[in-house]
Parts: sequence; C-alpha cells; structure tokens
Amino acid sequence: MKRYAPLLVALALVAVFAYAAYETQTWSTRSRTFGIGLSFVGLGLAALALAREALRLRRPPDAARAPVHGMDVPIAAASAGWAAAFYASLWALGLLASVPLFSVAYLRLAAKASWPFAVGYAIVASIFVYAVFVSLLHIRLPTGILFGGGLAE
Amino acid sequence: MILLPREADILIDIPFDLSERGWRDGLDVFIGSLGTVLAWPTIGLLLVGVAVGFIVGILPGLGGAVTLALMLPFIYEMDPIPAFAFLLGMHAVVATTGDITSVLFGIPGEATTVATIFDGHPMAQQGQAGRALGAVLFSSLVGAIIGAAALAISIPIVRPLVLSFAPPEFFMLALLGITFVIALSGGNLLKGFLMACVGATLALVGLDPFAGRPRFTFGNLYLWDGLAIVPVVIGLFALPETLQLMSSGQAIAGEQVRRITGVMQGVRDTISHWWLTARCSLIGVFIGFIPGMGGATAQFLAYAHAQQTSKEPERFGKGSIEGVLAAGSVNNSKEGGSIIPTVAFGVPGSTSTAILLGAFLILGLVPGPDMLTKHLNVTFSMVWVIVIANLIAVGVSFLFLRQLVRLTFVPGRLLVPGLLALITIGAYTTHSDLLDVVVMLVFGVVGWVCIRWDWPRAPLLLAFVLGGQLERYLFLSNQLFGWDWVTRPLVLVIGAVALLGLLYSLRRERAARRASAAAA
Repeated sequence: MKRYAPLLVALALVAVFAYAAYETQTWSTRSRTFGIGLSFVGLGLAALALAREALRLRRPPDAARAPVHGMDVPIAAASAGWAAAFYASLWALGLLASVPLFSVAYLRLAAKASWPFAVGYAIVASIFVYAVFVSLLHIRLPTGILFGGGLAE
Repeated sequence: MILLPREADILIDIPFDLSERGWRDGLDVFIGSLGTVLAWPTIGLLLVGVAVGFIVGILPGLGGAVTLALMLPFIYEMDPIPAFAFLLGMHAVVATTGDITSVLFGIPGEATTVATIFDGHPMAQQGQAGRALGAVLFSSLVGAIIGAAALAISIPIVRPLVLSFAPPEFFMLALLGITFVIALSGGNLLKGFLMACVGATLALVGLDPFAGRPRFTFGNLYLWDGLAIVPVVIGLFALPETLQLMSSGQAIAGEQVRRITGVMQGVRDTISHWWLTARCSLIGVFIGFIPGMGGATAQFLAYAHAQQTSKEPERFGKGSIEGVLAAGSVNNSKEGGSIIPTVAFGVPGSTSTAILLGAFLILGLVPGPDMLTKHLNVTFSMVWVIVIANLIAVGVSFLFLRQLVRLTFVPGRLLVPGLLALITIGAYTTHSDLLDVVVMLVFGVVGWVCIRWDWPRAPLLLAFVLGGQLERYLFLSNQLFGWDWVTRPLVLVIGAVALLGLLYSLRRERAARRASAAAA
C-alpha cells in the first residue's frame, strides 16, 4: 500500500482537475477564461505526475520508493484519535467545556501527567481562554450542539 | 475594496512642494510629529497597542487584521494621532512577535509569518532557537525601520509609478509571484507547479465576481464567500505540526538540546548579512506598496529571492540563517510599503490597511492630498509609530527571549491541549462558524498528506493568495486591451523575469539530480 500511495495522490489530483475542467465549462463566458486555462494546465501536470509515479512503480522496489517522511502508524493513529475526540467534544459541548475536559483526559492518559498538574493546567487554560477571548476580545466561541450551537450557527 | 489605479487617478492631484523650502518644512513637520507621538496620552495608547499586538502576534491564528477590526470601535472618541498610535502600534508589532511562534512551534503567529517557519523552525529543532529568534527579531526591526523610512521619503514621488501600472502589469506581477514560488518546491518543479494549480483553483471557490454565480460551492452557502486564508493556513501548517507534537511526545528542540545559546549570534548574522536584509526589506516595501499583493506574498518572494541568490541554496528549508533573515526583514518592511498607497491614494495595499482605511473614515480623515498637506503631521506620526512600536516590541522580546526559548524544551504533549484550543479559536474567529473549523480540519489532512509524501505546501498557499488577483487582473486586462496587453513593455519585462526565474530553477533542479545520481 505504501508503494502505491504516491500514485493514489497523483490519481486524486487528476480527478480533481478533471472535475474542475468539467465544471468550468458551465461558467459564464466572462469568468471561465481563467478557470478553464488553469484546470487544463492542472490536468496536464497531474497526468504527468501520474505517469511519473506509474513509471516509478515499474522500477525495482528500492528505486521505486517515493520520498516518505516516516512515522509510527499506531502512534499517529492514536494522535489522530485524540484530535478527533477533541473536535467531537467541541461539536457536542463547545469550546469552553472541551478545553478543560480534553486537557485533563489527554494530560492524564496520553502525557502521563499527574492529577494536580492536569487539573491545574485545565483550570488555567479555561480561565485564559475565557478571560482573553470572551471577556477581553468579545469573541464568540463555539457553543456546541448540546447548548444550541453547531454547524448551523 | 481596492480602487484601480485608473480610478484613483481621477481622484488625485497631489500638491507636494518639492522645492528646497518644501523639503525643509516637511522635515520640520517630521521632527515635530515625533514630539506628538511621545506626548501623553499618545505614548500611553501606543504602549497599549503594542501590548495587544505582542499578545496577538504570539497567539497563532488570531490575525492582526481581525484584531484591527475588533479595535476600531475604541477609536471613535480619539484624536487622529493617538488613534493611529493605538491601531498602528498594535498592527506594527504583530508580525514581529508572530515570528516567535513560527520559530518556536512551527505555527505561524500570523499568515504573514509563514515563511519564517521554513528555516526558523528547523533551526529551533536543531537547538538553535536562540540564534533564529535573535536573527528574525533584529532583522524584523531593521525591516520596520527601512519600511518606515520608505514611507517617509516616498510619498511625494511614488504617484507616477503606481499610476504607470495597469491591470496587465498587476496580472504579470501576480504571475511572477507564482513562478518565484516554484523555487520553494524543494527541487521538484512538477510538484510545485501542481500545488500552485491546486492553490489557484481553490481561490476560485465562491461567488463568481463577474456574474455572481456560485463556483465549486457544491450547494453550500458557507462557500459562497470563498475559502478564508486563516483556516487554510492553520490547517496546512499548524494542525499537522500539532499532530506531530502529539505523536513524537518530545520537546520541539529535542531531548538532547538543553542549552540556549546564540541570541547575539542571530543579531550578528543580521549585521553580517546586511545587504540581504536590506534587499529583502526593500522587496517588502515594494510588494507592500503594490495594492492587493499583500504581505503573504512578500514573504515568499523575499524568501525565494534569498534562496536564488544564496551560495548555499540547498540549506533552505533545513535551517538556513539566510532564509530566516529574508522572512524576518520582509514582514515588517511591507507595513511601511502598504501604508504608502493607503495614505496617498486611498488604495489599501493589504487587508489590514483596508481596515486602517476604515479608521481614516471614522476619524474624519480623507486619504489623498490632505494627508500630504493639511494632515502631514498625522502621516509622519505613522512613520514614528512604526519605528517606536517595533523598538519596544523587539526590546521586550529580547528581554524575555530566554524565557520564550525555554518553551521549546517543554515536552510537546504538555502544549497540545493549549495549542489545539488556540488553533481552533484562530480558525473559528474567521466567520464565527464551526464550518471554519471544518475547513481547517480538511486542510489539516491536506497538510498531513503533503508532509507524508513530500508535496510542497508553500506553492499551494501562495497561489491560493494570488489566485483571485490573477483572475481579476486577467479579466480586466482583456476587457481594457483585448489580448494586445501581452505586448505592453512592462508586461514583457516582468514576463521575461518570470521566465528567467523558471529556467534558472529548472537548471538547478537538473544539476541537483545529476549530482545526486553521480553520488549514488
């Protein structure tokens, strides 16, 4: 799968520019000059990248290896999971509730911090967010779907 | 709103006395305005503005433009000079302190400090955070002074230059920016071009500016306004970096580096590379001066210029001090440059100066001839505000630099909850809509894919910034001149420069490939 990933990225770009080239045909005469030119240039370049990746795959595995920045997959998945949990909490509960909850959970379970540190961090972070963004800058923070917020705000 | 030069031409006839007496009177006003800025309460408001700008600059994603807009209601009761001391004092230091976050965390404090990440953050990872910060802050100060000086001396003489540019020249300048960014593609021109095409295509999302028809919006009302730069920048750069912190669990500087050294070395680097710093500062002034090009463009052009003229171009992106100096010097000098057309022509050079234009109207000032005669003291006070605000910000930053540098030694996981909160707030403040956060997450995935499979992110970002301008100026060029605009002398000159830059990059890529094959 690792070997084919760069090919898939190039294929995705071909699909994106093919769609863009199709979509721009429907635009008004005045606005489509730039869009059509851009999408066809992009399509040509993406096709070239796809061909290059396909040729790379025909070489021996060592030479065919595309430059990839290594990472430990389970750890990366765990990190993505934590981030997903934060944003799920943001969507459900809003930012002011998510910051302390996530801080305590993440610092205790992932960073292995002590209870006093995790709770202290959560309190300080919550006060900072509220004082600076709500009280001082009067910025509306996401309230969460359970409190009447959500995507339709 | 950006007034086209031809429209501005109708409005303006600058009366500026270029005689010896005129210059002497101007100098008197210039020196007198320093006294006004240093008088109470102006200096107090300047300090408040600097403090706000300092914090805003360090907080990732909370942009100077957003904060300027938030602060506008506070100036209703103020006189013009204290009001500009407050607003401009804040705005002038945002980019300076934004560099600190870029270097320490690899997260742009401002959209205009993205280029600082390319080399500043790798230096921090190599344990040279002090040197990078010393260089970026001192070069920022030099850039600010050069930008302010340019503002002071150029006002009476810039008008003919701006008015000689028509949409074809603006189109070619934007195109030049795109081709320059190919040099940032890490030795892969094809990927660089492709990412630039993706960025320019993303810039087309939203309502068609000519016919009012939705494009690439998929029936979603949120996309009618187009994609905002802040969620895109945060997603592409900050989110993958934070995920990396979560995954590595290490401090940004790495466990093996504990000593903080080289702050003064960074200052010395700035002095020893004074010519590069001056050149990049002047690029910032020039790009800032061109309406609509904006600071996000200037940093990449200066960075690409530094790379193209460097004796060690291969070090760029891996911790080159020249890359840090280029990004540092340009992001403040452009402020002086972008204020020139705002003050003289009422043509804002950037989003922030467009908001400043709103401040002019609130204060009852009309940009144009009055700002060079009746309100010349206000114009010159802006010069002093930029200089003094940056002197204070850089001084304070140097005083607390060691504490700031220590942040890089904090284990990454301890920063994660705070960073996630700041990143989210930064994206959300764009429209106060959760969809801003969704956009940021989508571009976070794109940024992660780019890092994982070595696709350059900078060309995507720059083309995204320039895409709208390219389309607008191409349309205007065709409307005004047909396709004859391609034969205009300035268009040909800029086109030749773009082509040469491209050929140079191609040649260098081939040479690098040959050298790599020979080494293997």
